[in-house]
Amino acid sequence: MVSAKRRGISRREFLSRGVKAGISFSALGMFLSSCAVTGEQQAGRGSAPISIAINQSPWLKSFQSIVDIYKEDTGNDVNLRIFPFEGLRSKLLNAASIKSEEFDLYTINEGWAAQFYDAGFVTPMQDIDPDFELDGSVIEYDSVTRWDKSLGYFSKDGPVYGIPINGNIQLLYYRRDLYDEMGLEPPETWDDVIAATKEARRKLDSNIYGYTMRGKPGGYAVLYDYLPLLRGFGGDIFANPPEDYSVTINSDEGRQAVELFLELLSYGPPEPQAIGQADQLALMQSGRTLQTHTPNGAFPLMDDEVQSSVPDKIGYTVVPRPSEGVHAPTGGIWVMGIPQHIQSSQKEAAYSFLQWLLAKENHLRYAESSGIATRQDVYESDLAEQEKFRYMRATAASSPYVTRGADYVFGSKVHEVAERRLSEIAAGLLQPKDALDTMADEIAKVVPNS
Amino acid sequence: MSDELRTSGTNSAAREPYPSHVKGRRLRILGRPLGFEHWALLPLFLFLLLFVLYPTVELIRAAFSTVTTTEGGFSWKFSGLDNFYTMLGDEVFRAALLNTIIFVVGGVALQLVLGTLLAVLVERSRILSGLARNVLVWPAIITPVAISVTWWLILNSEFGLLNRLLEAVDLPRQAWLASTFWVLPALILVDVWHWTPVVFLLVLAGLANIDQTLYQAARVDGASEWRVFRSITLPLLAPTLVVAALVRTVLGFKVFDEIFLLTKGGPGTASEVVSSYVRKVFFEQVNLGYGAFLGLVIISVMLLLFAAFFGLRSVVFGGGRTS
Repeated sequence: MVSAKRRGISRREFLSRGVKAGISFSALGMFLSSCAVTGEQQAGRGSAPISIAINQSPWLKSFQSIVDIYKEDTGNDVNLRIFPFEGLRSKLLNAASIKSEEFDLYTINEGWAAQFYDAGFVTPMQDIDPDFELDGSVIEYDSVTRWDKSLGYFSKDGPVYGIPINGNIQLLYYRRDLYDEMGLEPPETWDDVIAATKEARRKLDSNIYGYTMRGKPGGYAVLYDYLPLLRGFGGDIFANPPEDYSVTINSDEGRQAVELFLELLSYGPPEPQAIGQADQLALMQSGRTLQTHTPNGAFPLMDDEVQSSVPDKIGYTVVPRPSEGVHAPTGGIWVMGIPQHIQSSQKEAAYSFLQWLLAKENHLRYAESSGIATRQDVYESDLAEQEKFRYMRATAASSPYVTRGADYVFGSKVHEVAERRLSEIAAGLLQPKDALDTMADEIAKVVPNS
Repeated sequence: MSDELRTSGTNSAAREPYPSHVKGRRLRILGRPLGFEHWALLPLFLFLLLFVLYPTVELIRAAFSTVTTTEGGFSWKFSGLDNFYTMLGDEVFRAALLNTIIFVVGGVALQLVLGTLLAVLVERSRILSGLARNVLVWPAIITPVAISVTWWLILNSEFGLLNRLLEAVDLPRQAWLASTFWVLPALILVDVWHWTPVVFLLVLAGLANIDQTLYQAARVDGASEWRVFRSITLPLLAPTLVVAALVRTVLGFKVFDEIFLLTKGGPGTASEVVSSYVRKVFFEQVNLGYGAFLGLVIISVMLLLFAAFFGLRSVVFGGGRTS
């Protein structure tokens, strides 16, 4: 006869139920924790505190310094969310796509600024402050701050979407002590560079590389270094964007550029396809290369007595030009944009921070912390006369020639093609003419409505 | 106590877990009353629904769409098989798939051989076997980023230790990570160094389950060590090796960290693998629809591999039973 009392469960059944419950509640716990806002994120909420998504970089330390000064000056809180360079864009895309309020300021590289501006991920400054105007001393780097939606391109007449906060442009880094030893002036043309290379081989340490260029693909690395050569000869990737996207990378100017590219590579490490930015800078810091062109943002690394074997021995000048060509240093500017979808109070707080940063006195303090300023008057100030900031004279001299990088809405697809093919040229896997023609065909395919 | 209460519970027809007066109050699904064990599974079910089923459905939806960025967000447009045709014409994806297969086949084979060899040696060793068991697993517990940086310092053409050693003995240095010939073998070497300890642990556990009397009997019969290994150890280890091969194959297909940090898929496409290429399509080209389609292809390949392995197991081992 069945007892009316509820029967007890067996030990096996008890253990089985316990495990199932444990797994279920662990899963629930994981689910709930993924929905939680962390304490660190909560610090960024509210009318004054802001959260900035920013990348790891040589200039990060200086930016952290100026943020500390901002906190002291204003009493406002700023939370820096730091990501690796390659990971920052995906973080921002994720945040924008789900309209997350995680960040109040996006740090955007000019290489993908077009995409962010065109997609409406960031708001025009005039939408926050109708009276907004960029100070005349702020360098706009070939209008990388402005976007015209109707053209789908940068335009000096378009509204301002991004505030330049890091004025990375390419400079020629060269061993001024060795140039002095050889009795040479800082190079003006690529012929001067090559002559110095050959002189160095004759007179100096045979282990030193005459010139180092990157050949290792990395999103937008090889193309970035190649553009000054191409544009110096008067060539470009497209004929006349945004009106004419006919591909011209394989024009006569393109052929001259790739020949120069191969010649410069020949004076460098035997496997240029293995040379990325870390290797390039390490070769300069270790005194194993005579010269290279790279963004001015790396200047603090050269005089760092711990990291560099050649402190105070590096000179800076404008990226050389072909004898019959023009200087064409490429910008690698970082701008900050305010997300379109965040609350108005956060937009205003972020806007206030940017206005504070752009003010001349604060920008000077930023430059004193080794930040790469974006105001011309900083480069023309007394700071530029100091030995520590000798890169500023070269930067001021370069400003009139700066060109934007391969910055198009579909730019990432162009980068992918060009990086791969230029890396193959550097590795000797493809003949230059074939590679250029192949590159041109592939780039033509990625142009929308081609 | 009533004989009915002593019922073991294996025969559900005879089982009467709930008193009859309680039955009517319980929620039922398919005629079966829901008990505590069913409700306890509900959080897990919700978790799977939100974090597995929903993303999978979205992935499939994206795979057959063109996704573009516009007006502060993303817009989706059904595009049928466009992404499939794109994949067919994508020579970079073909190169990535081929590289991945070479990487997996080469890496898994070496890991199985090396892992088994190490496990057999450690298992038979009388001295330092305890120390060896601990030290040999270290590579598997180090983070992939640290491993990639370490190997970069070894394999780098300019600053690497390996080339410095070669130069010290007057041998020509090699472009380990910059040569289309050497790059995949170099990456396989890194992967083998990193993950052989996992195979070693699995095989060591498998060896511990082998009846030692079999070895004694074989030795009494005069069998050599190689004969013992070939005729006793290897056949009895076979299920373990199949599992190890499956685990390493699946994880090998997912390789990303070493490729991204050491070579970024270069030179050219010589070390591009499917995961690094899908990342480029997603996050550099922002071609979300095509990236989702490639992701779906990879998942399908993984499922086919699973099916093949389980089919092999049941055919060769009769459903996993070895005796």
